Amino acid sequence: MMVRLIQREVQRGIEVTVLNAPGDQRAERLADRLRTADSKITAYVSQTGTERRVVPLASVASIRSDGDHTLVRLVDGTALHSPSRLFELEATLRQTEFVRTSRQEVVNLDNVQPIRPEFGSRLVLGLRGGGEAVVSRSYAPQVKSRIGIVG
Amino acid sequence: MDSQKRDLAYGVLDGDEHESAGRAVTMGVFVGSSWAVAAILAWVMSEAVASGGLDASTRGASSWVLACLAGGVLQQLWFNFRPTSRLGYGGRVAGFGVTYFVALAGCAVLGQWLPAGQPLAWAGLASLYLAILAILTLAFTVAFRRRRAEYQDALDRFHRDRG
Repeated sequence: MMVRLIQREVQRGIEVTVLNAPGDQRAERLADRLRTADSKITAYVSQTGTERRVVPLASVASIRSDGDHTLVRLVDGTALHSPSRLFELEATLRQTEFVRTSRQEVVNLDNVQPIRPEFGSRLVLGLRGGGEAVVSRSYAPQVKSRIGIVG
Repeated sequence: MDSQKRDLAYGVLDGDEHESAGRAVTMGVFVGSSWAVAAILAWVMSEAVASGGLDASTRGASSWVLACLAGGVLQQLWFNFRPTSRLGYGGRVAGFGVTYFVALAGCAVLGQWLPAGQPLAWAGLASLYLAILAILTLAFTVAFRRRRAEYQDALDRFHRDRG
Protein backbone atom coordinates (compact mmCIF):
# COMPACT_ATOMS: atom_id res chain seq x y z
CA MET A 1 0.00 0.00 0.00
CA MET A 2 1.37 3.37 -0.98
CA VAL A 3 0.43 6.40 1.14
CA ARG A 4 1.01 9.93 -0.13
CA LEU A 5 0.42 13.08 1.91
CA ILE A 6 0.21 16.15 -0.30
CA GLN A 7 0.02 19.62 1.24
CA ARG A 8 -1.24 22.48 -0.94
CA GLU A 9 -1.64 26.13 0.00
CA VAL A 10 -4.97 26.40 -1.80
CA GLN A 11 -6.47 23.25 -0.28
CA ARG A 12 -9.43 23.72 2.08
CA GLY A 13 -10.22 20.77 4.30
CA ILE A 14 -8.93 17.24 3.78
CA GLU A 15 -9.66 15.20 0.70
CA VAL A 16 -8.80 11.50 0.68
CA THR A 17 -8.92 9.31 -2.41
CA VAL A 18 -8.40 5.56 -2.06
CA LEU A 19 -7.38 3.90 -5.32
CA ASN A 20 -7.79 0.16 -5.41
CA ALA A 21 -8.58 -2.85 -7.56
CA PRO A 22 -12.29 -3.77 -7.66
CA GLY A 23 -13.38 -5.92 -4.70
CA ASP A 24 -10.38 -5.12 -2.49
CA GLN A 25 -11.78 -5.60 1.03
CA ARG A 26 -8.80 -3.85 2.63
CA ALA A 27 -9.61 -0.69 0.73
CA GLU A 28 -13.27 -0.89 1.79
CA ARG A 29 -12.26 -1.19 5.42
CA LEU A 30 -9.76 1.64 5.08
CA ALA A 31 -12.46 3.86 3.60
CA ASP A 32 -14.78 2.89 6.46
CA ARG A 33 -12.16 3.94 8.98
CA LEU A 34 -11.59 7.23 7.24
CA ARG A 35 -15.31 7.96 7.24
CA THR A 36 -15.48 7.12 10.94
CA ALA A 37 -12.66 9.61 11.55
CA ASP A 38 -14.93 12.12 9.81
CA SER A 39 -17.75 11.24 12.26
CA LYS A 40 -19.54 9.06 9.75
CA ILE A 41 -20.01 5.34 9.47
CA THR A 42 -20.69 3.18 6.43
CA ALA A 43 -23.21 0.36 6.66
CA TYR A 44 -25.43 -1.69 4.42
CA VAL A 45 -29.19 -1.99 4.43
CA SER A 46 -28.97 -5.79 4.45
CA GLN A 47 -26.14 -8.14 5.39
CA THR A 48 -25.70 -9.48 1.87
CA GLY A 49 -26.92 -6.45 -0.04
CA THR A 50 -25.00 -3.74 -1.81
CA GLU A 51 -27.20 -0.76 -0.91
CA ARG A 52 -24.82 1.34 1.16
CA ARG A 53 -25.57 4.20 3.53
CA VAL A 54 -23.11 6.66 5.04
CA VAL A 55 -24.62 7.90 8.29
CA PRO A 56 -23.32 10.43 10.81
CA LEU A 57 -22.12 8.91 14.10
CA ALA A 58 -24.51 11.24 15.93
CA SER A 59 -27.43 9.23 14.52
CA VAL A 60 -26.06 5.88 15.73
CA ALA A 61 -27.46 4.54 19.00
CA SER A 62 -25.45 1.34 19.32
CA ILE A 63 -23.25 -1.08 17.43
CA ARG A 64 -23.63 -4.74 18.25
CA SER A 65 -21.52 -7.71 17.27
CA ASP A 66 -23.35 -10.09 14.94
CA GLY A 67 -21.02 -12.96 14.09
CA ASP A 68 -18.30 -11.67 11.76
CA HIS A 69 -20.25 -8.47 11.17
CA THR A 70 -21.86 -5.78 13.26
CA LEU A 71 -25.38 -4.49 13.55
CA VAL A 72 -25.63 -0.70 13.58
CA ARG A 73 -28.79 0.61 15.27
CA LEU A 74 -29.80 4.15 14.44
CA VAL A 75 -31.83 6.56 16.56
CA ASP A 76 -34.72 6.33 14.09
CA GLY A 77 -34.97 2.60 14.83
CA THR A 78 -33.32 1.45 11.60
CA ALA A 79 -30.83 -1.44 11.80
CA LEU A 80 -27.96 -1.48 9.31
CA HIS A 81 -25.18 -4.00 8.76
CA SER A 82 -21.47 -3.24 8.77
CA PRO A 83 -18.85 -5.67 7.46
CA SER A 84 -16.38 -4.41 10.08
CA ARG A 85 -15.90 -6.27 13.33
CA LEU A 86 -16.75 -4.65 16.64
CA PHE A 87 -13.16 -4.25 17.83
CA GLU A 88 -12.22 -2.63 14.52
CA LEU A 89 -15.02 -0.09 14.81
CA GLU A 90 -14.34 0.47 18.50
CA ALA A 91 -10.73 1.35 17.74
CA THR A 92 -11.85 4.09 15.37
CA LEU A 93 -14.50 5.36 17.80
CA ARG A 94 -12.08 6.01 20.63
CA GLN A 95 -12.26 9.79 20.61
CA THR A 96 -16.06 9.81 20.40
CA GLU A 97 -18.85 9.34 22.92
CA PHE A 98 -19.14 5.64 22.13
CA VAL A 99 -18.37 3.36 25.04
CA ARG A 100 -18.08 -0.39 25.35
CA THR A 101 -20.97 -1.82 27.39
CA SER A 102 -20.35 -5.54 27.01
CA ARG A 103 -18.34 -7.95 24.93
CA GLN A 104 -20.99 -7.66 22.23
CA GLU A 105 -21.86 -3.97 22.12
CA VAL A 106 -20.70 -0.36 22.06
CA VAL A 107 -23.19 2.41 22.76
CA ASN A 108 -23.29 6.10 21.87
CA LEU A 109 -23.72 7.87 25.22
CA ASP A 110 -25.17 10.88 23.43
CA ASN A 111 -28.14 8.71 22.50
CA VAL A 112 -28.73 7.06 25.86
CA GLN A 113 -31.88 7.87 27.80
CA PRO A 114 -32.63 6.78 30.51
CA ILE A 115 -30.10 4.94 32.70
CA ARG A 116 -30.85 2.66 35.61
CA PRO A 117 -28.75 0.55 37.97
CA GLU A 118 -29.33 -3.17 37.86
CA PHE A 119 -28.65 -6.01 40.29
CA GLY A 120 -25.15 -7.47 40.12
CA SER A 121 -23.40 -4.08 39.63
CA ARG A 122 -24.75 -3.84 36.11
CA LEU A 123 -26.48 -0.94 34.36
CA VAL A 124 -29.29 -0.79 31.84
CA LEU A 125 -29.15 1.96 29.22
CA GLY A 126 -32.24 2.94 27.28
CA LEU A 127 -31.40 3.65 23.64
CA ARG A 128 -33.00 6.33 21.51
CA GLY A 129 -34.78 4.53 18.71
CA GLY A 130 -35.86 1.73 21.04
CA GLY A 131 -34.30 -1.11 22.92
CA GLU A 132 -31.93 -1.33 25.83
CA ALA A 133 -28.29 -2.15 26.33
CA VAL A 134 -27.17 -4.02 29.43
CA VAL A 135 -23.81 -2.85 30.73
CA SER A 136 -21.99 -5.85 32.16
CA ARG A 137 -20.29 -5.66 35.52
CA SER A 138 -16.85 -5.52 33.87
CA TYR A 139 -17.69 -2.44 31.81
CA ALA A 140 -19.99 -0.60 34.25
CA PRO A 141 -17.16 1.33 36.00
CA GLN A 142 -15.98 2.69 32.65
CA VAL A 143 -19.50 3.80 31.65
CA LYS A 144 -20.12 5.40 35.04
CA SER A 145 -16.82 7.22 34.89
CA ARG A 146 -17.60 8.56 31.41
CA ILE A 147 -20.80 10.22 32.61
CA GLY A 148 -19.22 11.50 35.80
CA ILE A 149 -20.44 9.03 38.41
CA VAL A 150 -17.78 8.66 41.06
CA GLY A 151 -17.43 5.36 42.90
CA MET B 1 -6.43 -3.99 21.55
CA ASP B 2 -7.57 -2.69 24.89
CA SER B 3 -11.03 -4.19 24.43
CA GLN B 4 -9.56 -7.57 23.52
CA LYS B 5 -7.54 -7.51 26.72
CA ARG B 6 -10.65 -6.68 28.73
CA ASP B 7 -12.53 -9.51 27.03
CA LEU B 8 -10.05 -12.03 28.46
CA ALA B 9 -10.77 -10.75 31.95
CA TYR B 10 -14.55 -10.89 31.56
CA GLY B 11 -16.23 -13.06 34.17
CA VAL B 12 -14.83 -16.15 35.80
CA LEU B 13 -16.90 -18.74 33.96
CA ASP B 14 -15.75 -18.14 30.40
CA GLY B 15 -13.28 -20.48 28.77
CA ASP B 16 -10.44 -17.99 28.38
CA GLU B 17 -7.21 -18.21 30.29
CA HIS B 18 -7.07 -16.28 33.54
CA GLU B 19 -5.07 -13.12 33.98
CA SER B 20 -4.60 -13.51 37.71
CA ALA B 21 -4.19 -16.31 40.22
CA GLY B 22 -7.29 -15.01 42.05
CA ARG B 23 -9.50 -15.58 39.02
CA ALA B 24 -7.98 -19.00 38.41
CA VAL B 25 -8.65 -20.02 42.02
CA THR B 26 -12.20 -18.60 41.89
CA MET B 27 -12.89 -20.59 38.74
CA GLY B 28 -11.40 -23.66 40.42
CA VAL B 29 -13.70 -23.24 43.42
CA PHE B 30 -16.76 -22.93 41.14
CA VAL B 31 -15.83 -26.01 39.14
CA GLY B 32 -14.87 -27.98 42.27
CA SER B 33 -18.17 -27.05 43.92
CA SER B 34 -20.10 -28.37 40.94
CA TRP B 35 -18.26 -31.67 41.21
CA ALA B 36 -18.92 -31.76 44.97
CA VAL B 37 -22.66 -31.30 44.39
CA ALA B 38 -22.66 -34.02 41.72
CA ALA B 39 -20.77 -36.35 44.09
CA ILE B 40 -23.19 -35.72 46.99
CA LEU B 41 -26.22 -36.36 44.78
CA ALA B 42 -24.59 -39.53 43.42
CA TRP B 43 -23.96 -40.70 46.99
CA VAL B 44 -27.57 -39.93 47.98
CA MET B 45 -28.91 -41.91 45.02
CA SER B 46 -26.62 -44.88 45.56
CA GLU B 47 -27.55 -44.99 49.27
CA ALA B 48 -31.23 -44.73 48.39
CA VAL B 49 -30.94 -47.61 45.92
CA ALA B 50 -28.89 -49.74 48.33
CA SER B 51 -31.19 -49.24 51.33
CA GLY B 52 -34.48 -48.96 49.46
CA GLY B 53 -35.12 -45.32 50.38
CA LEU B 54 -33.72 -42.22 52.02
CA ASP B 55 -32.56 -42.26 55.62
CA ALA B 56 -32.08 -39.25 57.89
CA SER B 57 -28.56 -38.43 56.70
CA THR B 58 -29.29 -38.73 52.97
CA ARG B 59 -32.52 -36.75 53.41
CA GLY B 60 -30.63 -34.01 55.22
CA ALA B 61 -27.79 -33.85 52.72
CA SER B 62 -30.03 -33.86 49.67
CA SER B 63 -32.36 -31.25 51.14
CA TRP B 64 -29.47 -28.83 51.76
CA VAL B 65 -28.01 -29.44 48.31
CA LEU B 66 -31.40 -28.87 46.68
CA ALA B 67 -32.00 -25.74 48.76
CA CYS B 68 -28.69 -24.26 47.61
CA LEU B 69 -29.29 -25.26 43.98
CA ALA B 70 -32.79 -23.76 44.05
CA GLY B 71 -31.37 -20.54 45.49
CA GLY B 72 -28.84 -20.30 42.67
CA VAL B 73 -31.33 -21.12 39.92
CA LEU B 74 -34.00 -18.74 41.24
CA GLN B 75 -31.43 -15.98 41.71
CA GLN B 76 -30.44 -16.28 38.05
CA LEU B 77 -34.07 -16.38 36.90
CA TRP B 78 -35.17 -13.37 38.95
CA PHE B 79 -32.10 -11.15 38.71
CA ASN B 80 -30.06 -12.19 35.65
CA PHE B 81 -32.76 -13.12 33.14
CA ARG B 82 -33.81 -10.51 30.58
CA PRO B 83 -37.62 -11.06 30.75
CA THR B 84 -37.76 -10.62 34.53
CA SER B 85 -35.60 -7.47 34.39
CA ARG B 86 -38.71 -5.63 33.15
CA LEU B 87 -40.21 -6.02 36.62
CA GLY B 88 -39.32 -3.42 39.22
CA TYR B 89 -36.60 -3.99 41.81
CA GLY B 90 -39.13 -4.65 44.57
CA GLY B 91 -41.12 -7.01 42.36
CA ARG B 92 -38.08 -9.10 41.63
CA VAL B 93 -36.90 -9.28 45.23
CA ALA B 94 -40.42 -10.21 46.33
CA GLY B 95 -40.77 -12.73 43.48
CA PHE B 96 -37.46 -14.34 44.36
CA GLY B 97 -38.37 -14.39 48.03
CA VAL B 98 -41.77 -16.00 47.55
CA THR B 99 -40.61 -18.65 45.06
CA TYR B 100 -37.57 -19.44 47.19
CA PHE B 101 -39.81 -19.81 50.20
CA VAL B 102 -41.83 -22.43 48.34
CA ALA B 103 -38.60 -24.22 47.34
CA LEU B 104 -37.27 -24.04 50.91
CA ALA B 105 -40.54 -25.37 52.29
CA GLY B 106 -40.22 -28.37 49.98
CA CYS B 107 -36.63 -28.90 51.12
CA ALA B 108 -37.67 -28.55 54.76
CA VAL B 109 -40.26 -31.30 54.30
CA LEU B 110 -37.73 -33.52 52.51
CA GLY B 111 -34.99 -32.96 55.07
CA GLN B 112 -37.36 -32.90 58.07
CA TRP B 113 -35.85 -29.61 59.22
CA LEU B 114 -38.78 -28.89 61.52
CA PRO B 115 -40.37 -31.28 64.03
CA ALA B 116 -43.38 -33.12 62.58
CA GLY B 117 -46.86 -32.28 63.84
CA GLN B 118 -45.99 -28.78 65.06
CA PRO B 119 -47.75 -26.23 62.87
CA LEU B 120 -46.58 -23.43 65.15
CA ALA B 121 -42.97 -24.12 64.17
CA TRP B 122 -43.92 -23.77 60.51
CA ALA B 123 -45.93 -20.62 61.19
CA GLY B 124 -42.98 -19.12 63.07
CA LEU B 125 -40.56 -19.94 60.26
CA ALA B 126 -42.94 -18.53 57.61
CA SER B 127 -43.54 -15.34 59.62
CA LEU B 128 -39.86 -14.73 60.20
CA TYR B 129 -39.01 -15.40 56.55
CA LEU B 130 -41.77 -13.15 55.22
CA ALA B 131 -40.88 -10.35 57.63
CA ILE B 132 -37.22 -10.48 56.51
CA LEU B 133 -38.39 -10.58 52.88
CA ALA B 134 -40.62 -7.53 53.35
CA ILE B 135 -37.77 -5.55 54.95
CA LEU B 136 -35.32 -6.58 52.21
CA THR B 137 -37.82 -5.71 49.46
CA LEU B 138 -38.39 -2.26 50.94
CA ALA B 139 -34.66 -1.66 51.50
CA PHE B 140 -33.74 -2.69 47.94
CA THR B 141 -36.54 -0.62 46.43
CA VAL B 142 -35.52 2.54 48.30
CA ALA B 143 -31.78 2.05 47.67
CA PHE B 144 -32.22 1.39 43.94
CA ARG B 145 -34.63 4.32 43.50
CA ARG B 146 -32.09 6.64 45.05
CA ARG B 147 -29.24 5.28 42.96
CA ARG B 148 -31.33 5.45 39.82
CA ALA B 149 -32.10 9.14 40.44
CA GLU B 150 -28.40 9.81 41.09
CA TYR B 151 -27.33 8.06 37.87
CA GLN B 152 -30.04 9.80 35.84
CA ASP B 153 -28.88 13.19 37.17
CA ALA B 154 -25.33 12.35 36.09
CA LEU B 155 -26.49 11.35 32.61
CA ASP B 156 -28.59 14.53 32.23
CA ARG B 157 -25.59 16.61 33.35
CA PHE B 158 -23.39 14.77 30.84
CA HIS B 159 -25.85 15.55 28.03
CA ARG B 160 -26.12 19.21 29.10
CA ASP B 161 -22.33 19.58 29.19
CA ARG B 162 -22.08 18.06 25.74
CA GLY B 163 -24.44 20.78 24.58
